[in-house]
Amino acid sequence: MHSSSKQQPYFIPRKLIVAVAAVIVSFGISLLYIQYFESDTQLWVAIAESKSEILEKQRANQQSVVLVCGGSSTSFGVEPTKTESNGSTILVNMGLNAGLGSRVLVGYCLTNMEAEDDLLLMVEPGILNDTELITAKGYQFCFAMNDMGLMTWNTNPTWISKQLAFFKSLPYLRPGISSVFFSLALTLLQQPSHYQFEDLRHDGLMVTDHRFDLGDGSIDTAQTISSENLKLLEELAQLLSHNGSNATYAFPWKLTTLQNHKSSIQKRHQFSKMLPNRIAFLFESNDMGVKTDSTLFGDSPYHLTEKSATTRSQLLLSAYEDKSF
Amino acid sequence: MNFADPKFWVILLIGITIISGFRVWIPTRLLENWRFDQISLICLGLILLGTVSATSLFVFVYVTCITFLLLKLLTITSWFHAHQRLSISLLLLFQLWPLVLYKYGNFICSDVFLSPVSSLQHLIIPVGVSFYTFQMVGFSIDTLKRRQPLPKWYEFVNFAGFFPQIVAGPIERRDHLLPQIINFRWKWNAFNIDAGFPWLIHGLFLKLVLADGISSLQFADLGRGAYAIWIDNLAFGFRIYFDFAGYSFIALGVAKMLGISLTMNFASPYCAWCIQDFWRRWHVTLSNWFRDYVYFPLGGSRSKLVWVNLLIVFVISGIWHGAGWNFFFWGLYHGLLLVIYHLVGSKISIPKVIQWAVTFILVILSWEFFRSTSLPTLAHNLAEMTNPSAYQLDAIRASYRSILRPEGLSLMILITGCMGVVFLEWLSLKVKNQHYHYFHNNIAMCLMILAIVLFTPITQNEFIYFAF
Repeated sequence: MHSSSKQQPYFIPRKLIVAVAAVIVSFGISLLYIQYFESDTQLWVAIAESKSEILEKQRANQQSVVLVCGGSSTSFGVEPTKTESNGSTILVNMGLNAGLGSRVLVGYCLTNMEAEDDLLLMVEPGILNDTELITAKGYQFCFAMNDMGLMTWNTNPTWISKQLAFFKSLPYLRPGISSVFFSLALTLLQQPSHYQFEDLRHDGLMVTDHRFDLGDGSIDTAQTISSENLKLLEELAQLLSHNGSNATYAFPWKLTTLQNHKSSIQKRHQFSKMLPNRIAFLFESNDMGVKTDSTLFGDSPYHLTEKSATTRSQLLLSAYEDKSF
Repeated sequence: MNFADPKFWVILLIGITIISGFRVWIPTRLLENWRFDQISLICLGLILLGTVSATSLFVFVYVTCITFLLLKLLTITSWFHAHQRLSISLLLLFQLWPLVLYKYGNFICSDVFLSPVSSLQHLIIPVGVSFYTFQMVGFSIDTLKRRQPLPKWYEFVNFAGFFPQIVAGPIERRDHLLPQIINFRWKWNAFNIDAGFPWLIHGLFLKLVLADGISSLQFADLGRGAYAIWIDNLAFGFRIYFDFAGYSFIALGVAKMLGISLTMNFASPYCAWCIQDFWRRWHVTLSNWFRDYVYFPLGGSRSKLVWVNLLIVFVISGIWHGAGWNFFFWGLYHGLLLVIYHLVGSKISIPKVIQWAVTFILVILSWEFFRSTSLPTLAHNLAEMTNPSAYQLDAIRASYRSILRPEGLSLMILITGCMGVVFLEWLSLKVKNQHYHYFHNNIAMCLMILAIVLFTPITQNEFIYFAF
């Protein structure tokens, strides 16, 4: 031990006390930042709240509602579409951002579902191939929505389960350097974020005027579902069947090159075979949603243009109608 | 044993709690008889190393056992005195072969003899092998040459594997660390905790905020021109410094809290005003090791081949950092810079600020050798950086446009922050004549904690020097 002879002996380390206080204050600041300033979280919270309101409006006078659940491919790919025969079923776009993680995307739909509603999963295969079910952004989204039930799927949580969920997510409730510095850079450059709340159409479809050179299209190569996501899908199927609802899976459309077209379709075939039995696969066409026409897509190989979203929604609904539950 | 991994801290806290429990409930005399403090320190270190990988643990145990047993053998036999050089060489052979096999096996077969061996290609370098092997080599030479007595086996294991410094140094010397290890006791000492805590926070700040921050922002595509290469090198230069110094300061802080004083491995190296000064401040314990165990035995500055010796030392130092030609050239480059400095630079009188700027630029240039593991890329980038036409007005405009994008600007903001940190290091020296003085007061500590909480990237990064 080093000599501390010149120092008056003391028992409680002062620096440690200061550090503990600083950690508590820092986490407080971090939570405030996530709640009020984190731009991505702010955007998706605003969109989620709007979509919940849109759903309530769409629900009026409908016998049956099908919530379409997914990431941005759903958000940019599905508009509310009613059945032509009697107009009693309506597809409602509940898509958010795949970066939140599959558990949060599904959890958001579950909290908005009512008895007799159905769920149409259009979660990107890459997300279902991931071993991580909730991302940091997902935890932040749940916190900012003030609804940890989005990740626990517990619609009636106790105080203790809420606290446990909060502490589990605490390490992720920090913005991180890229988020803060990127926002700072955007402010300095006086540039808006890539996606805006204004991109949300009044009926829940997101549209953007951005057009990029999409190059070779999507390089999504997932042909399996991770064991974690398989478990999640099983849990979902069980929960829905208990509530008397149906669960279906449809592939989001994606852009690929002519060269990769065949192999992409094969991969999706493989992927569809892995779905749990209780989740019906919605077979729309032989191409399994793999497209080579880049004019169908907007700013990403997964984001449809407004026009192709209309076409896609109609095809999706008619395929859904053909499926007898 | 990754200080950036919360698992490390959880295991450490659990370990210390258990040890404290023993200390409180079992009579001290009994614990003294069991050599409790020493044995528990060994157990904690081995558990922490074992959580990294079984291979790392196994290799460490091998090098430690073989070093101690051979030293024991050599010190009790008269054969050693008659064949001193041969016996030291034999000892070194047994000590160094795991390092050579794991770190250089594939490089020697594939790149030197051009006959790759598939089993060597997939070998993962055991964590810390370069550091503790060198520490044990130094210990062995000191012990045998100075005919010093061997410590008890448990004292030696703790010297070789003191957990804060086992994976990335500092490479400690017998005279400095061993007496402290022998006197080590688990003891709550608020003064020691207060002395170590600022170093711990400082290290975490450098690693988690600055080094990992650069790593998470460096994906920004700044183009391929000379300016972009310089910015990449600058970012890498800061990243590697903050990463390695961060680790060293955390080790220093944890050790201080336990009452052990480790050697400061970094002393504001980017404030160096000549290349010789830089090497007195960068990875200090490795530089000292090479000076004492390679440079001096080669003849040192009294030798006629002083410049050749210097080049040899730096080439070996380069190769120590990694098995690749780029590390060879990195060492050679630094060796040449030192030779040129001694021959010319030290005789020219220029303002200090210009000396600093030239040194800084030369060091930043050297990181190109370090980070370009492919020789064609290295050659291309060096050609680009040394081509005057790559610095024309059009290139400035293109670079400016790349920077004025959110990704580019984020990185530049962080680099500016890093420059600010270096400036504070300089100010600490200038005003207080003490390294890192301004980082260790309460206000700085609170600000660093705030930055750690807010800015630490969510995804974890290993320490760069773990690979060495």
